[in-house]
Amino acid sequence: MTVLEINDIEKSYRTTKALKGISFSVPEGSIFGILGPNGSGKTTLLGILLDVLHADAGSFSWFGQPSSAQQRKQIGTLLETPNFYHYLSATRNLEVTSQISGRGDHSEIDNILKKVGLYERRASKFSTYSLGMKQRLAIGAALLGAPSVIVLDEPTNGLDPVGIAEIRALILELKSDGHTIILASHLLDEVEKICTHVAIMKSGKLVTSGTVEEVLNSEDLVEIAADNLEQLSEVIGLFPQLIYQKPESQRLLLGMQKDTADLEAINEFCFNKGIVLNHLYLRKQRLEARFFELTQD
Amino acid sequence: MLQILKIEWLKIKSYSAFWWTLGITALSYIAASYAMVGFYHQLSNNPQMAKTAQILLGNPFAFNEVWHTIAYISSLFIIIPSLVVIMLITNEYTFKTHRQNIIEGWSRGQFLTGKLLDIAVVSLLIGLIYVGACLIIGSTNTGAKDIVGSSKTYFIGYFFLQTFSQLSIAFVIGFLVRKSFIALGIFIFSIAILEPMLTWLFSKYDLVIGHFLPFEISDRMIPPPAFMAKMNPDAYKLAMNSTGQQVLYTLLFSTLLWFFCFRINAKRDL
Repeated sequence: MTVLEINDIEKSYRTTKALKGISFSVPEGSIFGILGPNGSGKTTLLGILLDVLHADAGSFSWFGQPSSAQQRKQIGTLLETPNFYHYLSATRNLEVTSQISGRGDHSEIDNILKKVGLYERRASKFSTYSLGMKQRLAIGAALLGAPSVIVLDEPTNGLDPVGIAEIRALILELKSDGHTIILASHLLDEVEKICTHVAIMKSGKLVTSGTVEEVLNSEDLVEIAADNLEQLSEVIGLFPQLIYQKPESQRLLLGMQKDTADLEAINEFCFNKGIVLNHLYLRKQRLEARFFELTQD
Repeated sequence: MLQILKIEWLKIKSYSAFWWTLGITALSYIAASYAMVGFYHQLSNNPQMAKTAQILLGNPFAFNEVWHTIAYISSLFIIIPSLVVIMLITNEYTFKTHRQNIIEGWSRGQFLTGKLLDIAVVSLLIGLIYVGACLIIGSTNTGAKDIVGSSKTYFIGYFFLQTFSQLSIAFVIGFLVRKSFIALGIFIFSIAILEPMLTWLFSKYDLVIGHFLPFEISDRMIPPPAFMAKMNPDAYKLAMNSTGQQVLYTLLFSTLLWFFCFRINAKRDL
């Protein structure tokens, strides 16, 4: 089942086109990462999905229904920054969240505050919190009442390494409990570790989307090296499945059609042309590398 | 509606600035009225002035005239509760909670309904302060010769409506400007300088449009009390006769103001 379906969403701010026809869908139970450099339109897109911004064109549906306030009550959200009443304590702020959304009750508020490590400071005013504590409270508010869908925009902002690891563990725990998580992040390493699906955006456009496997494995990457790199480059250029080659320190990086990189065949091909390889390695592509490939001009 | 009011109460009940400002409002309303009462007693207790004062002023602090007099005096201090209203809306923008409330499941209309209820409640509280001041001042200043009845208690309704209408203007400024100090500056400039200047200018050229300026519409519901109108009894009579009409104008104006806010809030990005 699809939790969120986005069709051709467009949004402009005066002369700047922030979103240019974004479409993708988020399957139920997935951890869906939305990636993109600053200004790519991630937060604008989430703002539209949560009715704080209006789209110029396009449509979207949550749980197969057009967007409504009632649906947003079923979605726990941290959008951009932790937004709370500065003069209220953590408990009082979560009471406001609970009353508006209908999620969670008094005893659950205490449990959530324990979960995000703010229980001891529950009576302190929000204005006295550090950036990390504010972020934890915002995550707590999103988790209140265990909503079926959780939207987290840069959830690790302001957190220390321990906090980041805790949030990662929390997200994985939520997934195992069957929650769908939509996660916008700059931290590619984090996304790669926990996401099942990704959408990559650049300058308001969707570059690609799908499962992490699909997005990463658009091609096979092979590293090769020999004593004479120039000669190796000439020879490997004749290899049938090769899409491109590029030098990388003392090696050549070969881009090949997906699922066609046969190391034995490459080795044999080079040997038959009189070159002995001293390095041959099938590189697993990292999301970070793929991200830069897709988002850099 | 009750649920929205409950949530607004959660937001306000621990907000000390709100309670301080409301306390100052109560103090200023009561203190200003008592200052006028004191001034009146000073005149009426002076053997040389007593007779003249009695002829010119009557007894503005006795029932029934007290409802009119205190309503007029109190209405001059609307700036203080306006500060509360401007804070209530601009805080939402400063803390970005106007977005968070929507994200968490309120509709944009529910958010504004909450603010509308806030202003109605603040107006009601101010109305209660006014009623309390009238009852205390009236009961301690009414003599055997004064005619006691309910003929001027309609000023309770007028005062509430005037407070609500003028606080709504403060709200609209905060709602549009979003920054508390700028909104407050614009509000004070409008009520204390711009509108009195325009009212004077329009009246100088006999232009009726001057009666329909935002604050003037509701100000005309509570004209200067009888003792201040002794100089021009005909104008006073005319002003008193048109208060009913001004109530309708004020209701219409306030409705339009809120309709405008709901429309803008539904359409604009938050």
